[in-house]
Amino acid sequence: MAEESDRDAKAAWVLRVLSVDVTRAAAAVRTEESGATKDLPGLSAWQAARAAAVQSLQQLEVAFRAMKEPEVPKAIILVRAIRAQLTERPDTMQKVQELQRFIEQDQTVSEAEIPNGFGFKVSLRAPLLAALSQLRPAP
Amino acid sequence: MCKEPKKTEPATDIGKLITKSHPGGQPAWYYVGQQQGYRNLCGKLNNCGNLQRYVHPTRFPPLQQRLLTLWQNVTAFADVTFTDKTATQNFEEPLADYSAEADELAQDILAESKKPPKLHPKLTLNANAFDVLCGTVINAAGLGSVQSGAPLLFFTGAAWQPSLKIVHVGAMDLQIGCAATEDFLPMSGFVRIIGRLPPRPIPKLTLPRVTFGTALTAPLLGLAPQIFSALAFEPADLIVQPGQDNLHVIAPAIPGQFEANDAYFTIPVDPRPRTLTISNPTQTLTTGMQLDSALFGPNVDFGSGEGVISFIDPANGLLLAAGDAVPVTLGITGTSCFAAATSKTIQVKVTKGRPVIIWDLTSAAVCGEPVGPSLTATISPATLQDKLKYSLQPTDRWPDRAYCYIRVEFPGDEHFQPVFMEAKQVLVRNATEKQGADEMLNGTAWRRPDLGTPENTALQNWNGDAGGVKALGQKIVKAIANMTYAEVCRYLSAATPAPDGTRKSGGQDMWRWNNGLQVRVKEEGSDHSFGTEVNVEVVTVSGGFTTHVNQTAFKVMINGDAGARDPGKVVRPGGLSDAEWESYKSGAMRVDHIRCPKVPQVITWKLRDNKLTPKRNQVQRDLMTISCLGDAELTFQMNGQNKSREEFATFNFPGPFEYRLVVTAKATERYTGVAASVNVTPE
Repeated sequence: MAEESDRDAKAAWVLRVLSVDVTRAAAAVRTEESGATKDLPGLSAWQAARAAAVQSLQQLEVAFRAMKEPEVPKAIILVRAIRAQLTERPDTMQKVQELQRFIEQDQTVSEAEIPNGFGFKVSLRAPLLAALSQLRPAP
Repeated sequence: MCKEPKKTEPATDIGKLITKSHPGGQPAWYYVGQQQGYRNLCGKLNNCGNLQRYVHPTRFPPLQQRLLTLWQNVTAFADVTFTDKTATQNFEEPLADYSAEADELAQDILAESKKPPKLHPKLTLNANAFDVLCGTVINAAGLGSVQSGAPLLFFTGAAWQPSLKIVHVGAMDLQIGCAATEDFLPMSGFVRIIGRLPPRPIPKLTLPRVTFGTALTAPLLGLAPQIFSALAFEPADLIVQPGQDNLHVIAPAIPGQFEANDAYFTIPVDPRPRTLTISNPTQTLTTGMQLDSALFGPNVDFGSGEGVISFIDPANGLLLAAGDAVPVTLGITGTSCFAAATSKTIQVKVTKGRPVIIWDLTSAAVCGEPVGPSLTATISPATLQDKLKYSLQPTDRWPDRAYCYIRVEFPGDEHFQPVFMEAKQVLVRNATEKQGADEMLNGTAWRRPDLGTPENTALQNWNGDAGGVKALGQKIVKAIANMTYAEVCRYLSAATPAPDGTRKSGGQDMWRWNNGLQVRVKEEGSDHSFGTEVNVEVVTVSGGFTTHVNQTAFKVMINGDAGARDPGKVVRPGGLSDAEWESYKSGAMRVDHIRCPKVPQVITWKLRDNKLTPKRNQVQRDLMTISCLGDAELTFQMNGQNKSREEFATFNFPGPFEYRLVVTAKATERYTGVAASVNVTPE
């Protein structure tokens, strides 16, 4: 138990400092090794990073709903818009390029990553771009 | 000056809600800024920014970059680190490294502020442009240097590199530069590089010894035929210079691949051996003849190439003996290109030589004077000079007659044939006659015939033309005064004819003047027509008596055709036109109109050094001058070959053998043609 607790603490530190979710990445690797997605190189990694991002966005959406502020409805729409932009299966080069441009340049993504006072960290850009770089779709 | 990066306000509702999620509704960086450690660090960084104003702008950029980087690192650290919504975390310890770096930067800025401005370094190139072979990797440091001492780098379009491989053919401008140093600013400039194609490779040749004239072939040079044919050689086909010659190998350019190239290789060349083959000479050899390869004509075979025959026996090539089967041993000297040939001995037939007498009678001949100075004939070869014999001795005196012949001869010996030469010396005057002639010419002693002077009566009756008589007399006296035999003959023969066309010898009545000088035909009482030869004498008449003082006699040819011997018949002289003939018959023709008989032309060889032994390669005109009495057309021969005047005049005498020079004067209106020859033996 102590060993497992120590591993969780390290994973938490990595997630906090380096913005990398080691637990999810390990799960994604296992999924890829199991042959779940064999059709596109790097697709499993992308889907894992995307799942983590979607979870963070859902977490942020729940936090927003708890606030009694007038900007909440518009903010939730923007959060969902981010989630909708994250294509689950970018199987063409064009889709990859559009995804990359959105993640790198869209201001909603930047502001969603601003350290918040809800007690959790939203990390989108770094893990998504890292996973996206592994994708090798057909041109 | 670099300050803390500015934090922007949220632009979307997401950012606004996140800002409101913090206690107090402030953004995250606000809370970070509330931390004392962070505030202290920012204060240091702001201080650094303030200190930079004291740094000279040329030293400013690297400090600015360091400060900016530090700011970015600090704010990034804060952004990443801050997750606690309560913002109570103390950043003092994590920011310790940044704080130390800020302190160090502040120290550096202070130190830098005390330094003078950085200078622009001077770039010194080794040349304005550089020829570089394509494929060569060049180092910028080899092109020049920078004052700052920083290494030069090439800018390749993406990065600065210390070296660059030249692949472009032609001129291009490469950007070179160097980084800043402690005292100098960075530098950037251009250098012109001219990419050249590499020279076409030429195989290294190891050449064997060859003889002169060896043809260049692929096997000789050890080359494959296709390589041999692709190259050019100088000399192209023959090895021209024995010794350590240079063979120039030229490789033509291949467009886009190689430039032309050449190389020199040493090739040892030996003289070419040959065989001398000489058979009997083609012309008669005589004693005293200087042997020359030309005498052997086409029977000389040098084997090949040039060469000079060397006469081993006789050593100097001079034939001295006469007789049949004289041995002559010849060889051919070696030259730079050909080896000396083996000597040969042949038997030649040598006949007696024919000496040449040269005699130029240029001294005056005066009756009664010693003939000595005129006996100056020379003979070639000069060894025979003492054997010359004259018909007159130097102590003899000139005889009292119009002309005489002097003979000089070489009687001959065992090696040379006998030869002789005759010269005719004219004697026509003495001091007394010339005085009278001068008086006649000046007119002081001349009396007009129409004055009735008894001495002129007969002459006046003769032709009735006093002016013609006077003119005739003046010409006769002039001729006598000038003492030219040919002139005297001409004027006497041109005497005005009798009205019937005949010329009668009038004895002392024919031409007589009151000064006592008389010209008369000696055969008194005989008739003479044209073409007959008469004796005419000039005598001085004094006191009615004919005194033959200083008598001078001439043979005079009466002008006219050779067949006109019928007395009393008018014969048309040759050369007269119809109008002149009518005038001649009527007696109206003046003496000037009468054609004169031709006299022999005289060709004079005048030696410059009074000898016929020029030095080798001396040209003819430096040896002698050739003249004739009139402007006759001259033709020239040298050893039987016709030469132009210029060729004759510039002919040099290269070899030590005899040359026979013949000059022929064609007949003119006044002179008959004549040929004269002389033999010349250069030393």
